[in-house]
Amino acid sequence: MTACPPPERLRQFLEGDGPGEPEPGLAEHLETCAACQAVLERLTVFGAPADAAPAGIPARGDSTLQAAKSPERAAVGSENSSAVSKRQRLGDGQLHRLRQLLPLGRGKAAPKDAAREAAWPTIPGYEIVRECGRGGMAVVYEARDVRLNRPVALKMIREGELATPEQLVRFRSEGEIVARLRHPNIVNIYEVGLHHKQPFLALEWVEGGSLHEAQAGRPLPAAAAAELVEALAHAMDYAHRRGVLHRDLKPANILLAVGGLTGAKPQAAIPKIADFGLAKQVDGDARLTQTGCVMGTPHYMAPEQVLGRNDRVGPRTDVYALGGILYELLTGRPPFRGETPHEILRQVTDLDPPPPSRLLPGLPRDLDVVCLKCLEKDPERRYATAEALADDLRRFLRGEPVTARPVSPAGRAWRWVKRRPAVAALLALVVLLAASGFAGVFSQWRVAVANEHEADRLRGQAEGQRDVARRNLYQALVREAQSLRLARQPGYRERAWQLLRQAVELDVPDKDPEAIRREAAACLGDFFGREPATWTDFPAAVASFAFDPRGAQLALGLGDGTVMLRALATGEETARLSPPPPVGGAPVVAFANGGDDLIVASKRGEVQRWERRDEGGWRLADTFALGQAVSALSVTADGKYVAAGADRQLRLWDREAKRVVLRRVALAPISRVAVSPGGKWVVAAFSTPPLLGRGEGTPTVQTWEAATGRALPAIIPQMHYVFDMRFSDDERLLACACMEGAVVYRLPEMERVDASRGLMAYGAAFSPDGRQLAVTSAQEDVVRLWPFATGQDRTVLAHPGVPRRVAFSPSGRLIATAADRSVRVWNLANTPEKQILSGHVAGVPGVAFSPDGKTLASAGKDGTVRLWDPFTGVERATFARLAGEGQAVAFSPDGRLLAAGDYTAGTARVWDLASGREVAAVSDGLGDRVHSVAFSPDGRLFAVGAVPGLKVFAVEAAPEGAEPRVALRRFDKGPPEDETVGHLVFSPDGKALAWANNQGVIHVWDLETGQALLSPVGKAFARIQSLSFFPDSRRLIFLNRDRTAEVWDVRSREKTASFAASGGAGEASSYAMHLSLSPDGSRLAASSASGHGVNVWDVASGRLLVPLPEEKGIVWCLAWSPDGRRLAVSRSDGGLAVWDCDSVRRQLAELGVGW
Amino acid sequence: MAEVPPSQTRLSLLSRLRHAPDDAAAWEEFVARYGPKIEAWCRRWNLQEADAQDVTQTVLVKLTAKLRTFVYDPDRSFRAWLKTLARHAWSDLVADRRRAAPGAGDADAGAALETVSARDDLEKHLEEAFDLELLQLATSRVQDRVEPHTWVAFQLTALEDLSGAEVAARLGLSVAVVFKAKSKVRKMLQEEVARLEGVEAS
Repeated sequence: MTACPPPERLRQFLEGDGPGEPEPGLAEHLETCAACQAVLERLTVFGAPADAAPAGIPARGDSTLQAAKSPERAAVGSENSSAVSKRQRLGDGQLHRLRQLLPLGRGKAAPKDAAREAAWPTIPGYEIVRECGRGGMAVVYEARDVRLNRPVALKMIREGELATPEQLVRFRSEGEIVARLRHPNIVNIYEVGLHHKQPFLALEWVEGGSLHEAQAGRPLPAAAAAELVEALAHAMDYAHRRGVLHRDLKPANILLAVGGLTGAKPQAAIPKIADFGLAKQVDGDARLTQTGCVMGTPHYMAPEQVLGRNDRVGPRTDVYALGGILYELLTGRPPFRGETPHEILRQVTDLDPPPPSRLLPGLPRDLDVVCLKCLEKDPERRYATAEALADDLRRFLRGEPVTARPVSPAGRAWRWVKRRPAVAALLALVVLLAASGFAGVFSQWRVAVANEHEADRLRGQAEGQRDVARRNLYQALVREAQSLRLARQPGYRERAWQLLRQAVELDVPDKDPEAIRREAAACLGDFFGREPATWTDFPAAVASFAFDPRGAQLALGLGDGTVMLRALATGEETARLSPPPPVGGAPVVAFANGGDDLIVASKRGEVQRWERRDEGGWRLADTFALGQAVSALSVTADGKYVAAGADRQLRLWDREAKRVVLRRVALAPISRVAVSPGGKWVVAAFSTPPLLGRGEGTPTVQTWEAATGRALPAIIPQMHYVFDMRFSDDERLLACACMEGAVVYRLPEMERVDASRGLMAYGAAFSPDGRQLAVTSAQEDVVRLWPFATGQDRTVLAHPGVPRRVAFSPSGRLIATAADRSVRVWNLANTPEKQILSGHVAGVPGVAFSPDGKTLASAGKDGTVRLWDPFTGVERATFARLAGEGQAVAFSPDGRLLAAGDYTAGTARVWDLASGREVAAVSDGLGDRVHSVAFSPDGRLFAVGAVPGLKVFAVEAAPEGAEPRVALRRFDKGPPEDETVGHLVFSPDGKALAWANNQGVIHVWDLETGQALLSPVGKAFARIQSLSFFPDSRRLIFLNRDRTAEVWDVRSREKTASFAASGGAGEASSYAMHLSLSPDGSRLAASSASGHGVNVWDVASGRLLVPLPEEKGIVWCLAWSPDGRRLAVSRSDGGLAVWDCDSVRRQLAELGVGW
Repeated sequence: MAEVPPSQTRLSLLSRLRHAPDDAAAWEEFVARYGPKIEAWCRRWNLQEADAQDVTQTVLVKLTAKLRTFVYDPDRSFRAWLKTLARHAWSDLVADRRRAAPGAGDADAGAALETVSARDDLEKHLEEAFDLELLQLATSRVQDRVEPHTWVAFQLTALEDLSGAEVAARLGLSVAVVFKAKSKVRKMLQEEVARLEGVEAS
């Protein structure tokens, strides 16, 4: 055996990449020499010196090893190589191992980092650790103060930013003033220095991030917000007393020293004010770059800053900003929001911010007042000092009354006058200011410290321009009210009307009460204009809720296991289940047994049944165990079925029968389940890899038919993660709330019907009629009502704080939304002045009040005749189903019979209302379009108008109490039967019949003499409700096609009056105009020229009283209640509403624009 | 010699997604590779399985959202960029969670997740996923450029801790060749990793 080579020789051998064959003899030596092998092992260990050796020549293939193979060994080798094929990649375990062996960029900076590091300034006494921010003017480093061994933030002003020696001097002197501030709530400046002629600051290092980051758009509890701002105000007062102004207070400039806003104790964080006056555009504020605004975020800038009124900038400027911070802490948003900085600036100068409590109902009014006092446009009206603000906040925290007083609307309006006129000019200034960028520091203000009194020159100016200003104000008020209405933020009505009230109260020459009334009326009847009921005082997040089928209350399951009931009207707690159900995730609640029972299911696997007690409480009746804890749970609205997922196991229980209906093992662990309302389907969602549902055919959502166990086609959506699943009440649709929004599928094909698209949805709920889906949009803090069938007109219900749950009441009239610890209940149907009667799924051409006014009947193109309670809007019954489309509807004067036109069937039908039985049907001699039916006011006659066909019958009804039966006999003094009739009416005395024919020509027939009374006059709109008699039976009113209302005396055959009925909203169009005269003949309701609105006219004066708001559908029929108080309006889209005109009049009168 | 520009598949998933956010294959792979790491992180920070999956989804989505919006600064290392992404995704996640229902049933379970240690740990988990991916790329490339025996020799010696002599015996290679293979592959791997990191940073 040859002698061992020196280790150096071995290393050369390993690193060399020449022909590769070691020198003769070495290979043989190595084959057998354990010592040399040991050396080689050492040399080839990862991390061995070889690693540190200069980089060798890049490897280029493997000629070395090929050459090294001896023929016979190669043969063996190739056998092996097929076993460990070249394509066999390393497994994760081996990669992990390799990761331990190979250095991967850790511990040493990438070369370019090193370059950057080299560019770090070397400042004597400091050691830079890393760069942590870079802005337009400065770079911020995390560094160590070597002498004092403490962390600091080094802020270097970038080269060229402070070019002139004067600026440098000022920077230093101002910096030194700030540096003398020593306050626990102010970030200390340790040193103001120069480095190579560039100034720098050494600041206290604060770890916790800014208030802006910590708050993240989430409202803080009122007390915590007040406490935090109180601390800031004290600190600012301290600074103010030393002549130092901040000028750029905002959440991004408030650093939090410990903890941040975690948990329930945000006050644990010590807020520290940073960036006094100096280098304030540096770093940190992402909004700055996003808006592209050189001035930084304008949200907290006081108007005097925005307007460049540096002479007015003073401590109250900082007070304004403190108010802005308080506002944002309370509501989660700054006082003004806009798309562009310009928009915000305009608002800062022009608009009063909405009181915080409007955004977050339930906030103490006192904080509203404090906030708004800080945010006054006029510095004089703010707190004089930051200390005064701190004191008021302290008073609030102690529960004492605050000193700030709310401003009266009139006061508010006056201040507006002062700031309005100059807006355009001021905006120009703002642009200038924005362009000039960094607009000086705070030295101007130093003068103000010495001289606390500032003259209110604006006041004097306003005096001189009072008249002009008033007119401007008047128009601004009306316009602003209009934009508020058009923006349709929840609860807009109060505010819009407040502005209109100010407009009414203004003494201006060209005031137009009609215009104000029109604008005010346009807000009517919109539930959205009113605030939803908001309940915020829950001890834990609301996880589930259920409407009591008996009405009046909502059951709520909270995250802490509490189950409570609250009255819908007042929000008061009516009951709380005790002992509370076992916690194990939030309980799921549902009413069962018609509302007698409350079912509470928990993830611990218990399903409790609580019985309603007579005295109002609830008693635990029994408990039903699912046998194990579950991960997903769903209970039907009637409490009958319970679906549970536990890992991969899916079970569907019939709770009442206490038996398992369906048992399935899913492909993957179940994250969500849902059972359809009647227990027909059960669906499970999985959330295992592929996590986002993309590939390999793993379904994300699997549905089964409960009765058969049949699996429906699985849904394999892309990018879906399913948060919630809901079935429609008819069990034909399934909605999945997921990452791409809500998606609706049709069962059982699982065909995708539509997707709401856009933003992530956490929760969804079908309306009871299955026509719309309420979708919670997690990122927008709103719930959208999405009529997925038509896809239009999404109503947006705002609910700050990530709304997760949503539910419709059984009637579909209420909707509840839950976000965290707050619940909002929206009434989708009712305003005091308008009831929405929803049920028809197609246009409603006929509507009539019963003679006693207590029932409303409607006939729709959907072939149904429905009866309603006109006071509550609740449907009493779907009274009848027609063969074809419904057209007209009429009550007999005694209220016992109901008649309707079966339009396409060419039939008029009569029912006995009490029994619901059809007692007569007429089709002989009628064309296939029945347009109108009417009973004479004495009940003796019944008329049917069709195209063609006009039939008048004598009605012979069986006496009351007898078997309901009606005989219709031809009335022999009736008009010619081959007339075409669009609309017909009896005169109130029953002696005359008037009709408009197919061409709109009007005829009047004397039923006593059997002769024509007036014929033919007018060119009314054809085939619509176009005629009404006055109570005197002599006069008839109709609308001419030129939109003139004409009144004719049918006896004297003269036109006695006419007025233009073309006023109100909408330009002339081709829409026909429907009309209805109030029973006392004083008011005429007519559809507007646009066809979408309804105008109410005073007949005597021809004056427009009120234009009722336009709606989507075209007005098809109008009906006054017998007392003339209510007006029913039906529309082409199935819309049906009852207006309370008394309420409308009263409300408008209160506003000062009544009639 | 001019370096051949790497094909897209020779880049890390993050890079690929950065250049082509709609690359479906990359997205799938990204989810498969990073998802389990994030989920492991969630579990480690005391989340139940279902919650862990929820959070994983959220983090993945936030990561990719950041990926699109966060401009990569070529002056800094790619790994630093990944850290920044992770940090921001975590901040968003925490902000969301704090905004969302703290009492939705898992308030306590999630608290740990919101600590700074958890954040650092998330960075570690993601960095690990990134490293493994990088190593997989590097090893594949090296593997493709050497003889199967060379690769196996390296694998067995370096990763399975077998002695050179043992491996030589198993593979029927000379001891000299085995050591040479180990040394060579190691060097190639180091170069490859350095190159990849350089490419990533471009």
